[in-house]
Amino acid sequence: MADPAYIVDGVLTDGEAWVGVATTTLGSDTATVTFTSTDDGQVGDFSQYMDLVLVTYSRGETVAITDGNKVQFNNDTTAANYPAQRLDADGSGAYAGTYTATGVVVHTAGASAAANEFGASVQHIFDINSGKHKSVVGSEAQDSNGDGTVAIRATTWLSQAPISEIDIVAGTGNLKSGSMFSLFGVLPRMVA
Amino acid sequence: MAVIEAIATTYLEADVASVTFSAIPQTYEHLQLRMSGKLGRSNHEGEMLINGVSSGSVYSRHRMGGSGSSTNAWASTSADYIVGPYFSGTGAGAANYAVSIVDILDYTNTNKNMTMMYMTYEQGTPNLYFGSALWDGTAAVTSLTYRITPTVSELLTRGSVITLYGLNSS
Repeated sequence: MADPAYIVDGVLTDGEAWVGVATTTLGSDTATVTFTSTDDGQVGDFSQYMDLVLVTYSRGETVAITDGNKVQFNNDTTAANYPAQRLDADGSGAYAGTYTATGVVVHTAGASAAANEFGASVQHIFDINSGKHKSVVGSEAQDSNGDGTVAIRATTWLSQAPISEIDIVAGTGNLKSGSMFSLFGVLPRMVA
Repeated sequence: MAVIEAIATTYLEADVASVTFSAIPQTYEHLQLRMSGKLGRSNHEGEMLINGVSSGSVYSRHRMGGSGSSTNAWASTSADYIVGPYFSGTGAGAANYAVSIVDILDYTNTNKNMTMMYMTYEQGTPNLYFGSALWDGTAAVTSLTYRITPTVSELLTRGSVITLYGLNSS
């Protein structure tokens, strides 16, 4: 099996740290987008990465200005396993709170947002192959010309298993056509 | 040259008092630290030093945060070290490590004071912080130290990991 281009004889050749794993742009409304580790030593193999970064630019079907996607790991849909802390603002005030949900909540544009509006987020998933509980720190923006929210949000996935699958699930119904999801792997560099 | 390069990863195989990235290459536009760490004492903590400077009241700090349903803000000036980003304390639970992203911009410029910003999430507690720090110096950043305060006997905990990245626009 050939190594990825950035590895020659087991050695990183240029220190390139962020590897584009995959991007999915929806051509039709879809309930779930899945990224699965290929477990083959190639760029899609999650086991080589220190962190993962998930970039989302999406829209949902919930009848509201703001919708909430859920990002789930290894098919775990148990709400108690995703405790979270949020810090957000809506133009009127700043708020904090804790909650649990059936995945990492990522706010996005809902069905009541004006046509063509999408919500943006960047989610950093740390130390994905460690025996630690996994942390996700994200920032997100959903602006709807006088409505919407901005937030920083952090979630713990209460599992010590390596992350091998990521599912992005619509808040209700489907993720809308045109929604875009990109996954990057972040490599470490062990030096003497 | 790659847009984002991993310069070095330090993974703690044993408890230590501090981690230092020295002789940082001056060939990038910006630096980023990505951290997952824990301390051997009950409360969260963590100090950063630029170029090993730990005197002269040259640092100031700002922070806003969310902890449960409470928001908070904090600032201080004329300090001898940067407070934050944070490692979690033992009270957070055995498998809960705090994670942080730290951005240090234009670190080779000798006409600017260094301003850095960070985001930290402490599992278990939970605390979520967005903070900044100013180093009132103009030397290029050549080393970064993360340590537990030297006045206590506890250490940075085994399993903590810090990676330094260099960023270029092209």
